[in-house]
Amino acid sequence: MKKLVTIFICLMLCMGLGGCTKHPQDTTLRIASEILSGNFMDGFSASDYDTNILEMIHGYATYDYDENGSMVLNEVPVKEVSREVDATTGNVRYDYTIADDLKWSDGHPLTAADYVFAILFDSSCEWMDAGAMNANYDHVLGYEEYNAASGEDVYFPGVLLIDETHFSIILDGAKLPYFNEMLLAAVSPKPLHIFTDGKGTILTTEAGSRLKDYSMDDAVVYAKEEYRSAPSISCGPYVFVSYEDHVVTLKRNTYFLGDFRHQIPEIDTILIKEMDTSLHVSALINGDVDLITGVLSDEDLLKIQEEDAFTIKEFAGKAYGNLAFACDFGPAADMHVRRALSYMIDKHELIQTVYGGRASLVSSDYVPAQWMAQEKEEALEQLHVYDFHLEKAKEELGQSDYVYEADGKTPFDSNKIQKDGSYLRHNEKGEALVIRHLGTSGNAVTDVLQLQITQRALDLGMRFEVDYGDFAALSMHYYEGASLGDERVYHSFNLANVLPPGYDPYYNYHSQFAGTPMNPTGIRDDELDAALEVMEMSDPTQRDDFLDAWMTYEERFHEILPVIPLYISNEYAVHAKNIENVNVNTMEGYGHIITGVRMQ
Amino acid sequence: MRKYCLKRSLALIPTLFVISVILFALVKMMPGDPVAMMMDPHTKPELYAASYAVKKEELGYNDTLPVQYIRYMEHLLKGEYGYSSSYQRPVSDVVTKPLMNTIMLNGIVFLLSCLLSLTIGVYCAVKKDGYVDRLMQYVSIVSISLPSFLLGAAFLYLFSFSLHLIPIGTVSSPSLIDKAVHMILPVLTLTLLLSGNWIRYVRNAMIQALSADYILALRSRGIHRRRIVGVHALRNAMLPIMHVAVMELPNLISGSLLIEVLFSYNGIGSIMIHALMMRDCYLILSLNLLYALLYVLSSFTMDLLSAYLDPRIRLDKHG
Repeated sequence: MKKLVTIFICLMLCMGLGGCTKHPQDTTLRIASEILSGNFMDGFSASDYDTNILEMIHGYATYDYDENGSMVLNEVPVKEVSREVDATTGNVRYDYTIADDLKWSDGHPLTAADYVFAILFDSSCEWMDAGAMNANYDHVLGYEEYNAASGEDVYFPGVLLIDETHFSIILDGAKLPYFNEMLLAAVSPKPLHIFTDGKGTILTTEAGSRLKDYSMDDAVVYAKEEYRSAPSISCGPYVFVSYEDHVVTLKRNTYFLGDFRHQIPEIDTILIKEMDTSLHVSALINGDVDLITGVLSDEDLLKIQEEDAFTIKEFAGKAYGNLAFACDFGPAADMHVRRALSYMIDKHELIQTVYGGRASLVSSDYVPAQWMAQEKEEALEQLHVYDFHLEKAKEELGQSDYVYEADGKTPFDSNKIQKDGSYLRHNEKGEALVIRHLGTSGNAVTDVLQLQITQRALDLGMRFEVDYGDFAALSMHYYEGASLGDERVYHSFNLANVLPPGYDPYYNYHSQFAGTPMNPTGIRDDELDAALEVMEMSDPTQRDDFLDAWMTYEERFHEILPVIPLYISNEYAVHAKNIENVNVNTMEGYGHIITGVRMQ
Repeated sequence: MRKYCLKRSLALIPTLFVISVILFALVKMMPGDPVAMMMDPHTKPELYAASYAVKKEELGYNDTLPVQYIRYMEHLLKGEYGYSSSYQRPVSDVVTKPLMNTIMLNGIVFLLSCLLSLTIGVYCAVKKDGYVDRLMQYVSIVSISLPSFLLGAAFLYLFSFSLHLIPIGTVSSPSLIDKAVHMILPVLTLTLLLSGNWIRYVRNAMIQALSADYILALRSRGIHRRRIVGVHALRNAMLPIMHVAVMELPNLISGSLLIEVLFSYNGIGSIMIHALMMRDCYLILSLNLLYALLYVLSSFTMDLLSAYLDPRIRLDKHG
């Protein structure tokens, strides 16, 4: 009996000691986010907020981008890469050697087959038929033929699996040169063993590569119906756990070897909490979240500063607010009308009214954080500023087609202008100079534009009429305007252009794409086209030529104004003081820098 | 009774059919292209066109409106509610969990409101024109006049922003305690508004019941007051009270939409707002049909309850 009691007491003591041992507490970082779409896989429409999560989940891309938006080689997964140009065809071959110790979050080895599978998957017609919108590999040799066909005997000639740690991508010489060639050869792996239930393999022959022993259709169905909304196995710094009750939960991936900066995440759990933007600051001050990012009002900044418990980081955003035109419709097609409107806007007052001065002016299609803008900083400063100047606006209108009275013949007389807008400028067809503008309800910029321009326009013999709609209506009229027929009524819109890393203005402003959602302004300008073509077709080694073409593009853009750049608002990253290394910047959101964040 | 139930059940079908046609037409008339809202405008043109065509075909938008309607109703009868263009997954996947959360929230509010309004309403009726009764009359008027989001915002400011008692935003963990804490303010807001309104009905119904002759007879027989009020008067007052409560239930669910958004509660409120902004036709249609069904069913339920609670109501010569 005594023995039993002794053993029992010893057991109790052991358990007690075990309980007293200090277990390292899991660290949890809570981040406030706006509404998520729930798509956590490349290829489906994902908001910028979803992108932050994608960047935390998926990793080991062969190339990544830095704080200047420049592409850099990711030396963690890629041990070596060689580039060879075929002198006959102009094809460019990239041979990759990847590390042999890479793993997926379930511990399964990550090999070259996963990279090849990613290309085969994203380029397949099955994936496109599922409604995906990524064509990341359309410059790879044989893409069109591969993408157009389906079935087991479809090979992709430009993708070769050599062995477990080697694969090659061959870019089609007919589509080169392309300055950002690295983007074309950049690959992010996809888990072959998960998408194909452990059965699929990659077969490479002289004809190229294809998926073997598993149907691509089945892989696509799995990806669309399951993986897209719950990517539980991945290779990024964090692993998706759940998306429930407006909270995305991510856990640290213990198999992750590091990002392109060789940083490994230390925070154990990330919670991304969806809530309305208006609640972000209060939630931070209340201690319900640890990090918020985005645009902040004066009042919010003051509240945060008063608490004296947070670190505030300010940086210029990667988007610029603008007044965009339908350059193929009505009076907005006249460059001088667009320039006149630019002179009617007091941009300094707009910035002060809407952002309390916490925004900066921009004169063309760029943001200062872009590496091109940094290299051409002095030249950009030379671009003349469209300051508020009614006389210059009048001169511009004098050079436009709208220099007649209603009969289309009698010259317009500025002295007869009435403040009520009863005497307007007309073109030779007798069409009045009336610009119909569509903005969004509750948008301060729309309000300021209405206040500023409406009367000034009347004073100059034109009308500027502002309508308010919601985002869906604005999207329809702006992006689909060319297809609306008689329903098309709006000539201008105010929205924002986002310039992410690798931004290529070619599709957005080349006349080849005018009238499509890619080029919603419908601008058609030979000089602009020429500059864009030189930029597009520059060899990666011709950096100076690219920069010169880029500057020519900016100058011409600034001259013809398919959109009037208005401001770049400042953005903020605010976090509790016990969190360090939150290096959010213009080009990199919190998802991209998360590996460096530390908690005390 | 059985015949009455059957007759009323059958009458629901044409009612719901007409509602569905009207809702479908209204939703389809909304400006905006739901397929375009799904697209990323920065997609390369050739891929944009192909992807747009695929999505349009998938959603069935290539067909005429009558064909779209018939197909939608066919799927609805099979328990499939269409495909959400904004979430890009079946409507049932999008709505199921949030709907359960909304039902849970409103169920709790309903029960608490019943408890509160019955208790206070009966007390006010018994102590007519007393201090409490007069105070509750004012409270009742205020609660009818006050918009729910205003009261909710006030509570948010007081309990979360100022006193830091209740966390802001959504839950931080899947634990029941965390969920319960986050439900406090939406439940409080909706319960106070609903109770304030119901107290009036309970009070008036009880006053009417207590002024009946049989109550006097019961008093004269020496029946205890508590028994008179709690058993006899309340039973007779229940019919109008139940009428208000059951008819209010669909209003409660549709009215909690703004409260759910305000408190970042994972209910169908935020989904409805998102669906409207993104012109998600099938999601809007399904949610609105659900509301319509609730209204129709509550009216039907009320008719049945009336017959059950009050035997004096003659439904038909065979009932």
